[in-house]
Parts: sequence; C-alpha cells; structure tokens
Amino acid sequence: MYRYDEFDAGFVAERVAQFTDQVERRLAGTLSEDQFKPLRLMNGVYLQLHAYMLRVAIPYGTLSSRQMRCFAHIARTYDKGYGHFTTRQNLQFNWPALKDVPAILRELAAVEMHCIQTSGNCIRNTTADQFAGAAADEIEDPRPYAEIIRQWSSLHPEFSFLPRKFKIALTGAPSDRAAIQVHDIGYQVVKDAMGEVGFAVYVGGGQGRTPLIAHRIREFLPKADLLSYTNSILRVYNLEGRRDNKFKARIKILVHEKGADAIREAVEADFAANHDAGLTLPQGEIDRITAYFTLPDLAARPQVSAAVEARRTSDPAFARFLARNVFPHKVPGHGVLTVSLKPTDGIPGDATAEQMDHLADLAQRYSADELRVSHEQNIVLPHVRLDDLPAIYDSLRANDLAADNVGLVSDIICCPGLDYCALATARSIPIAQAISKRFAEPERTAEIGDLRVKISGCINACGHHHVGHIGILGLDKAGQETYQLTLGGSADERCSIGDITGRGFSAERIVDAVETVVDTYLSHRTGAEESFIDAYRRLGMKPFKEALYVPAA
Amino acid sequence: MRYFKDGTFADDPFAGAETLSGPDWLERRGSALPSPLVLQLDPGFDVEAIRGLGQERFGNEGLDGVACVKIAFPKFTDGRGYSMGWLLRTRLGYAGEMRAVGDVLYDEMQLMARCGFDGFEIVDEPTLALLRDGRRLETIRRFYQPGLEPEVPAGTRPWARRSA
Amino acid sequence: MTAIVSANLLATGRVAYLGREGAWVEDIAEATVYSDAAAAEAELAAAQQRGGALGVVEPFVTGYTRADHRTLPEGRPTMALRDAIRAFGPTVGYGRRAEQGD
Ligand code: SF4
Repeated sequence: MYRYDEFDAGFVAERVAQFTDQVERRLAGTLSEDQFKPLRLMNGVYLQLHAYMLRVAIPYGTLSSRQMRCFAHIARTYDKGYGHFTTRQNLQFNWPALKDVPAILRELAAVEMHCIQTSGNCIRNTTADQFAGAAADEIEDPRPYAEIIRQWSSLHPEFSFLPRKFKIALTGAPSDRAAIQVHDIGYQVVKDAMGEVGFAVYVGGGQGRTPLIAHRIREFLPKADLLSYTNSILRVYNLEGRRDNKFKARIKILVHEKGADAIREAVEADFAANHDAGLTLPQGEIDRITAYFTLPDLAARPQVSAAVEARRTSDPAFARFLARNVFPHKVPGHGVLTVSLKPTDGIPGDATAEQMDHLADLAQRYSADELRVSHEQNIVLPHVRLDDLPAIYDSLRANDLAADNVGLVSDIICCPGLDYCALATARSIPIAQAISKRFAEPERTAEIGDLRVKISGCINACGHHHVGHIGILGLDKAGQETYQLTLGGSADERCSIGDITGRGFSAERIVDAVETVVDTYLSHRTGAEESFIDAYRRLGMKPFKEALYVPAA
Repeated sequence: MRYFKDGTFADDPFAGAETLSGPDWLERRGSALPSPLVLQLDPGFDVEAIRGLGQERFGNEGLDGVACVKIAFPKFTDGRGYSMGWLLRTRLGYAGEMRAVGDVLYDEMQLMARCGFDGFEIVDEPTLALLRDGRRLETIRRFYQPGLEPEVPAGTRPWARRSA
Repeated sequence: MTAIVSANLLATGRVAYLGREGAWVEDIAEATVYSDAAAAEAELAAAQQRGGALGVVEPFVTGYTRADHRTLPEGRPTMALRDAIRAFGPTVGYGRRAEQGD
C-alpha cells in the first residue's frame, strides 16, 4: 500500500489547516455561503437534507485495517454509528456537524486519509479496479499510476475551477471492473506490439442526464507521458468546456459537440507544445511509487484446498458463497474475496461501525492487512488463503456480512436517494430493499445468474442506472415517486447505455416490473449459460415490453 | 477597489491608462496604440491565437510592447483565467505584469499566483480585511505540480515542489 | 395552504424551522405556521433583514398543515415527501433505527 512520506503528510496537514481556517471564517460570517460552498465541496462537505455530509476519499479503493478502524471510530464519535460506501470508492458520513469537520479531518490525516477533491468542479478521487494487484487476469497494477494522478491533481492551481466535476478511472486488466468508459478520462493498461506497457486513452464518457460512452482518442500512451497528456486533456476542457449550462458542462458534451477527432487534435497539439513542462515521469519515480504496491509475500499453496472442498460438499450455502464471492488470485491457493454489503432488506453500501471494525479485523488476520472498496459498493479482502475461507465465512455470518449474492440480482448498486440527498427526486433505498426481499431465495437468484440492478434517485445517476442490466431511475411526477425502467446497460468492457422500457412505474409496481423482466428473461433464454445481458442483446426490447405493458383485457 | 502586488497594497502604476479589450487590441494592431499598453482579456479569449497572429502578421511574439495584461474573473468559479494566465506565461513567454481582476477572493489568490499572476485588483471586503491583517497568500507550501511561483523541487518526484 | 419557513443550521447542518420570536427550532412541532406562503415569505424576509438568518443556510418556504403532522413512513402527510423526510428523518435503516433506539 502507498504510505505517506513527510512531504505527503505535511501537505495534508497544510490542507487541513487551510480548510479549518475557511470553516472558521464561514462560522464567523466573513465568508458568505456563496463563497464558501465551492470551497467546502472541494473538501468533500455537502449540505444534504438532514445534515452536512462528509465524503472521504479512498484512493483507488485501497485501504488498510487501521484506516477502516478510523472510519468506525469517526462513525461512532461524530456520526450515528454507520457510513455509506459509494460507487466512486468514497465513504460518506451522513450526520457530521460542520464545526466538527476540522477534528474529523485531523483524525483522518493521522491515518493518511483526506477528503480533498471528493466533490466540487475539480479533479475527483481517481478510481481503479478493486481487484488491482491481485487479479489473475491483470496486465499490470494500475494503482501506482492512480496514485501519481492523485498527487498531481491535488490542489492543482490551473484545474481547481473547471466547468464541472472531472472523474478519472483506471483499469489494469482487459476485463473492465472500473467502468472506465463512463468516466471523463478512462485509462486502460495495454501492451503495444513491442510488448511495452502503456495506456489506451478514453475521453468523454459519463452518465447523468446525457449518458455517453467514452471515445478512445489514443491507442497507446507511454507511461512517462501520463501526467503530461492528462494535463493537456484538462487544459482543453478548462478552456473550451461549456460554462453556460450546468447540464452541458461535462467534457462528454464537449467531445460530443465538437467530435472526438477535434478533441484529439486539440489535446495532441497542446501535448506536443507542453512537452517541456516538467511532467514527464522518470522511470525511477514510477518504480519508486510502484514499489509501494508490491504484492504481499504470499507463498504459493495447493491450487485446491481440502478444507474448502470438504465444506463445499457439506454446506450448500458455503458452496454458493464460494461460487459468487471468490475470484481467482494471482498466487495459487489464494482468492480475492468480495464481502457483499447487500444483505436482504439492507441498505446497499452501508456498514455499521461494528461491521467496519470486524472487516478490519478480518483484513488484519487473513488478508495482509488490506481491504478494497468496489464501485459496486462492496468490500474486498484481496489476499486470502483458500484454506482460511471456511473460518472467514463463519465469522462473516456472525456479523451479518455473508450475503452470497455478488453479481446477482440482489447485489444492487443504489444511491442514497431522497432519504438523504438534497438533489433527489425520489427514494431509491426502499426500492433496493424491496427488490432484495423479492429475490431473497438464494436458489432462485443463483438460477437467474449474473444480473446487475442499479438504482438512482435522480437524473444525476450516481446509482449508475444507465449502465445497469436493469436500471431504475426515480423521478417525481406531480408529487408522486415514479420509477423509469431501463434495460440492457452495461458498465464493463462491452459498455452500453440501457434503453427505456416505456412509461414509468409507481413505487408499488416497480418491483413487480423487475420481476416481470426477470421472468421474461428466464422464459426466453437459450439456457442457463445465456446471461441476462446476452439474452437482451439477442432479443432486444420487444418481449420485455410486451410482458411489461400488457394491454388491459 | 484596492491594488495588491508583491505582498502589499500599492498604487496602481497603470491607473487611468486606457485599457483595450482583447478583440479591440487585435483590431487596432498595426495602428497607433496607447502607451503604456494595457489589455483586458475576458474568459473565452483565445490567448494561443495571439502567438499565431504575432508570427503571421508581425513576425514576433504577439505580446511585445504590452505593459500589463488584466485577466478577468467575472465569477470566481469561472476558472478559464487560470489556463489563460498559464499559457501567457509559459507558451507565449509573457514577462510583464499579469493582473487578476473581477471576483478576486483570498482563497483563490495563491492558485492565481501559481499560474503566474503577480497583481490583483480586489473588491471583496473580507479579502481586503485579511490582507490588511497581514495574511499571506501562501497557505500551502508544498505542491504536487510545477507552478510559476518561486518553487524548488522537493525530493525526486518531478511533480512535487516546495515554495522557495 | 398554511406554510412554514425551514433551513439548515449553519454550524451543525441540522434541519431547522422559524419558530416563536424569530428563533430557529429543530422540532417541526415548534415551527410557527403562517397563514399562507406569502406570509411566510414576508417573515423570512424580515428575519433576513434583521440578520436573523445568518446562522442558517438555504432558507425556504414550504407548505405545511399542523393537522397533518404524522411521522413517516407509517403515515404520509400531504406535505411534500422531501419536507416530510427532512422533518422526520430517513424512511429507512440506521438513521431511523437510531432514533427508535433499535
Ligand atoms: S443520483 Fe441523484 S439522488 Fe442519487 S445520490 Fe446522486 S444526486 Fe442524489
């Protein structure tokens, strides 16, 4: 894991002092709310329905057990005992007082964490594949580059007041687990013909009101040019991005309106002119940062674990857990374990302080002290021995953390919606809960197979509904919560935006509608091996629409 | 409005000078121009075009003879001026005074300085009060990217700097 | 429809209402209910005039009927759902459970 050196620690301390002073001036009244709002957002402080919300960055989703314990401590001391893991590898506290935020920031700084640029019209927390560094299918760990971008983008003097927020995501594997094609910039680690490793560059993806898939503007970017090139994209966007309309201000609109070729030309021209700007990465520094992310010392073990096999045959629930929650690790005899934060009737992404402490204990004991947060709002123990899985499983069960539904219909991505969010048009959490209850039968969900349901409480699409196999968008129609349904979206390397089924459904009807879609899939699929998304791509909307909107007899 | 330069309030050396907008200036180039020459560039003005024009039409860098460039921040949240300033200093090699005008607030002044601004016209009363109290712009002294203030490398990361 | 003035407290962010003698109160039961939105707007303007809104953020006027005072999610007041959630807390999970001492 990355560790702060003196410079990093000093920087965060300066930032905390600066923000503390800004809070004091706001409380004293010398900063107006209009002046303060962009400043507080730039440090992750929102004003939500009930209280302020503080968003903590978990850079590229990696954290230590000590950092997780700090979250638990903050949740208990300054909040109501829980926190919410988001789709952007952040943690949100829902109830902190503004006057307590400086103290919380000092607690976070003590464990090398911060809230810098978790909101605002600036470069946001850089995200990455939650399996980075552990997954068997990876070309190279993208996190050192995410860390370099994190550093370079922190309090950037030129790019702190962009037209709109700016999100960068990286993936090191051909399977895209970081949804890079719906980010402002997506970097994918690739190998060129000579075997040299660099990045394919995607620009202009995004969700929100106008969902657009990113364009690949460069096939291969040498590692050394990562910051230089990113700088050029940002400069073109800062100067040319629209500022006349908040809903047209993201870079995706600029790319869409001017065309990917025009943007490529502008970026390449700036990049060519900028080459001497001191941003070229020396290999020595890449190596130095990369060394922090070395795989922990895991001795290879037998590929098959006798303990696991014995339990698998005797315990069907454990067998399901293995099938859904464990992913192949680089090192034989190990696995990448996803802990689902989606129990039946739970709040997707929420964890109590006790659960956080428990996950920290498990990481310390079984996973080289490391945890990950996924954009699906789950927690990952990245380096566990297969032999330890039965013990970990029992321990998770005892703490209500053993849901065996990773990637299934009840593993729902869901934003906070109108229960918390000031921008929401409808509630999203109760819909997720109702769906999880409707599909609580593990045999049935296993039979349905891979199915991503994603729910947003407004058009901002924090719940990624556009790229859900089944997407649900909560709207307000004349004071009534109404839910629009989309089908066929996908966030992975075969990225697609879902199609709207037709008129929306009431809160009472939306769960039936989801069930109708699932039943239609089951009756039309060629077999269990044809997943929902594959079936949808073959069948199109027609059979689903017919089932959903039966004319009144 | 007060004029702030080099860490202190000062008398504006260009007070009363005629100020040309970017488009006016381009229009009038080649004819008699006021002296000293003071420009005000609004966000959206294409500063890189200055270089092209300079080379094509005048055979030199476009900003020769300009004594002061004011870059406008109509709202502090409109950040185009930062890139405009950066490009003037780096790509166009402009060495004269570069002044931030408009919605100039204390919390953004260090960012402006790091993008090459060395003069400020300030209206906001709380900002004036802080500066009168002797507050310095340099609240942050460690940077993760090269800036245009006096800065020295911090360690071996080429993107990390300390204020000099 | 009768109306109230609401906002969030600057220092804590908690929901507040304009109550008796221009004080901001956290319990909607103590909010002053004005005869209509225009009357509430006038009170808010007056409060702002005398500096009585410095300790709050984003004040606004919204419809509210005292008779309608019920807690979520059991009863659904005629006040906007958003206002009801602000008044009574999240309709789900820990936020609510914490209040119920569960
Ligand atoms: S999608 Fe809308 S309701 Fe949900 S968190 Fe984002 S802004 Fe709030």
